Amino acid sequence: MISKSLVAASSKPLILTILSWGENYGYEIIQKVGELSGGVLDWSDGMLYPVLYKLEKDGLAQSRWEVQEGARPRKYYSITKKGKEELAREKAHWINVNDVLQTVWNMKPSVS
Amino acid sequence: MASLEKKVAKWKHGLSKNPSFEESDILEMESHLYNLIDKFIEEGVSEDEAFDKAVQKFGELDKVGEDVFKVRTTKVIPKPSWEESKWMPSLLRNYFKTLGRNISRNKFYTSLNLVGLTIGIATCLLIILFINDELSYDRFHEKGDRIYRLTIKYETGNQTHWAAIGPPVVNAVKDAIPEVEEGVRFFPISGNFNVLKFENEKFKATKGVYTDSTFFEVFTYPLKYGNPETALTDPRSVVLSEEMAMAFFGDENPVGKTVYMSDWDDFHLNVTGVLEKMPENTHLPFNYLLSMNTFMEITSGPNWNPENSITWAGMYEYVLLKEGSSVEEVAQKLPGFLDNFFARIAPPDRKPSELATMHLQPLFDIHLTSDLEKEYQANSDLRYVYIFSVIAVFVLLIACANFINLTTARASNRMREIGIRKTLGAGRKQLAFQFLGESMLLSLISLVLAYGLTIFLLPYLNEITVKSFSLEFLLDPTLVLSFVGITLFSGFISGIYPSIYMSGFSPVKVLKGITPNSTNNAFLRKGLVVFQFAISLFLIIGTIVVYNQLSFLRTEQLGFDKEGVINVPLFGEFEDAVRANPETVKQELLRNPSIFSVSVAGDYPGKRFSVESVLPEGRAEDEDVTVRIADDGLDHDFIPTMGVNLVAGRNFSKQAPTDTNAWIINEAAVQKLGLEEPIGHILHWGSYSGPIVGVTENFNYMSMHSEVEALVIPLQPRWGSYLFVRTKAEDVPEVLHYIDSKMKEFAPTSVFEYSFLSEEFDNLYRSEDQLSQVFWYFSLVAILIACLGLFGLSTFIINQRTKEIGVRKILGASIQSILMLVSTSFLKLIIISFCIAAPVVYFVMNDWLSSFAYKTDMGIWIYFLAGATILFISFITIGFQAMRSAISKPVDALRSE
Repeated sequence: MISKSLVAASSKPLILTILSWGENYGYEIIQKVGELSGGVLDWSDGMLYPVLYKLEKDGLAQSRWEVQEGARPRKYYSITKKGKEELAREKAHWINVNDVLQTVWNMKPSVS
Repeated sequence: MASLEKKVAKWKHGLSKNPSFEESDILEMESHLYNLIDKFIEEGVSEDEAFDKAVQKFGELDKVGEDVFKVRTTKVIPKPSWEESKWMPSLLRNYFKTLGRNISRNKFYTSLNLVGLTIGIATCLLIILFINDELSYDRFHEKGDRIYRLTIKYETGNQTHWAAIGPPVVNAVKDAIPEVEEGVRFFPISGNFNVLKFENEKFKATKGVYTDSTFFEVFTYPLKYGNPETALTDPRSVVLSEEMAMAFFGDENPVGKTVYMSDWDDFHLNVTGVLEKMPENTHLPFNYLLSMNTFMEITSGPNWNPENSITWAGMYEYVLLKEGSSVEEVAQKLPGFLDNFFARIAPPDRKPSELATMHLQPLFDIHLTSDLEKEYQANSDLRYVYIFSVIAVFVLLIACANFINLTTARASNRMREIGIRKTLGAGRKQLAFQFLGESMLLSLISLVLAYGLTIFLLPYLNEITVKSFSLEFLLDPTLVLSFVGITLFSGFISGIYPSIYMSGFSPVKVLKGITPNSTNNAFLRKGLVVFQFAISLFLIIGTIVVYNQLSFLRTEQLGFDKEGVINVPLFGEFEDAVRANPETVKQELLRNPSIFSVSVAGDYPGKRFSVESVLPEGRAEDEDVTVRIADDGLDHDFIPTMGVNLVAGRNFSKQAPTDTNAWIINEAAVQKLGLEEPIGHILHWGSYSGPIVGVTENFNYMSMHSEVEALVIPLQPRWGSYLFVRTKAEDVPEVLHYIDSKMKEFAPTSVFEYSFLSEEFDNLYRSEDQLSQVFWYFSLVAILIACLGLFGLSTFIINQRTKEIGVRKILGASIQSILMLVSTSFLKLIIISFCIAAPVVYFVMNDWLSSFAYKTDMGIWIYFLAGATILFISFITIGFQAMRSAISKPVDALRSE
């Protein structure tokens, strides 16, 4: 089980990435997270919404309602220009962190 | 399907109860939930199971809500507002709200309470300032707890206990007793004041003292300039106060400069130091210090050396004991020291330690407890500290009694609140704390108001106590703490009974409108009113007695005529002129027809006369008698100038050459000396021997605390340091002008100073005068607060009886009978309080009066006057409300239901 704080930290780049593939709504987004992580990231569905609202509030994502005859209304989220920039930054940070961890773990202990 | 929708609706309702979620959020999440349910149904479970799984998958709504709130809030520490009360004692806000409402709905009663408490606390603040100052005397000396004053008490004759002692004593004590680390002497410069001269500019210099070079080692007086170790070593060294240095030299460092004593034009003094600003709270105030070696240089001669005058009670001498040494052990060594040191002057068959005892007075005790012969200045009295503290407590208690009375009387107005709070689960403790907290809060508000009042009253306190309190005193941290402590204490005293009483109401009864049984309560209320008025009466009677005694002292036949005598202190050039030719100056002044008589003298009624032993002719050497003696230089004209009556013999005469060694004595002295035929009897006093030529009445030359003592007056016309001029009261301005102009003829550079003998004499009663004023102000305050309470209480009770009064009026009651109806209950209480106060005040004031040898008696009229005053004041207080209800139309009172 991945720790809560790590889940929280990774949620932002993860969702921004999904949104960067195209407009989407809450249920679908969480389905994608489940599929992509193969169950490693196990969120309760409700916890998605605070993250989405936060992205929207910070101007990284925007939303619109789509109401169709005979279907339930859906709120679609899409990534903004600012969101894309933020995603690029996040990506770089995560890769850096990953590199550091890789290096450390590959080092052989020495007593020089 | 219907049941599924119902379940979702219920889930949705759970969302909408959480204020974090907006309408659109709920819609979005509902849609999400349906998606989940659809998915689970597709997977092949039942609807109910699908719903349960979906809800579980969606997660805890509260947790989601909290995160959504955090995202949307602008607060720095996100905490939902509807959860805030969890973090505070849950009802505090409500308590404040209730208190605020109560205050705003009952402005009248609240302000009565506040005004009473404010005045009470302000009175306490002023008294604490005063007492704190009295207790702080000499405490600034760092080694003060090891400093003692040496005093000597003669066990023979009058058993006089002297504050001053012979000059060589302290150093001998230091040599003889190893525990004594250091000694220092203090000798005030005689005369009224001196004139110091610097570069032809003259300055009046008061309160100069000669002191030893060890002065700075014993006492804590930091120097601004100069070296404390050497400043007072050399002869002709002077150390100035900061103010004097500022006046003489401005801001520059004057060390090394030379000033002149204008008495002796060639007498120069070297400035060796300047003191920093000195505290005023000392029993030894001074303005400048001269080295003791200066004194020795001036006074020592072939005939007299002060360092050998072991019996001359001349100097104030202090010892500093070594750290850790015991004062009792030192005191035990003093008799042995006396026996050694005084051996050569004692009669052969007596040991000195049988004739006299030496004492060590702790420095800190001198100001409040010492009243010895020849004190440096009149000290204060511990009794006044006690009286003032007791009065402060009384005034505060009167204010607290008001609070208790008004709060319990009006408790019924809060019955509903108490009932509801209890119904909603408030415990008795909780309610009691609420009410107690309210009274404490009100008392703290009073403290703030009292500070304002105190600042306003400070100048008056300074006037009465002749001290200089500034606002800084009010900010001293320990004092502020004690003020807050006293305030909270009075809030507690005021609040504890009402809170216990009110929190005990039964909710069912009070909500039904049944007033709780309040017999105890009414009894307490009456008791408190009695208490308040007993104290007020005590203070009123005290005021009248003190005032009465004071005016008796001032108007009583003194045996001399203190009115119309101008007192001109002699110094500098004018002093020299008078000393050189007293008769010329006197004759010149007498040319003015408004001047009846002029005398040069050193003693005058109101000054403390010295004590000496004289020997009537024909007695054995050791049968000498201790008497008061006017040995500071009285001339021929003293007796007529003071208006003293002779009962036998005659005044000193300039025509009789033998009068140069003559005596005039008073009747008490005739008795004490045991003379049957006083006129012509020879009296010996050292080398002064001569016949008694006159006997005076027992005129009151000292304060009337004591009986007139035996007094002998030798004739020493050239020693006087004052010029006394008798004139008529209405001629005083003209005569003053005349003396001034004549003085300028004799001594062009001298400054004209004067006072009136009556003022000097009245100074004897300064502390009684202070007491009288303090009593007067405090009885005013006490009555004021008590009447505030009475006013509030009577207003309330009359309001409660409005209907009764209305009915009575309809049935034909007259205005008078209604007035009587509402006043009698209170007047009864006042009469009871009178019965309590009268005996107490009789004992206390009689005790006070017994400190006077001449006193008024406490006539019955004093009690009548005080009783009538209180009755009158309280009748006006009650009457205002009583009258209003008595003349109101009964219909107004009765239709209100």
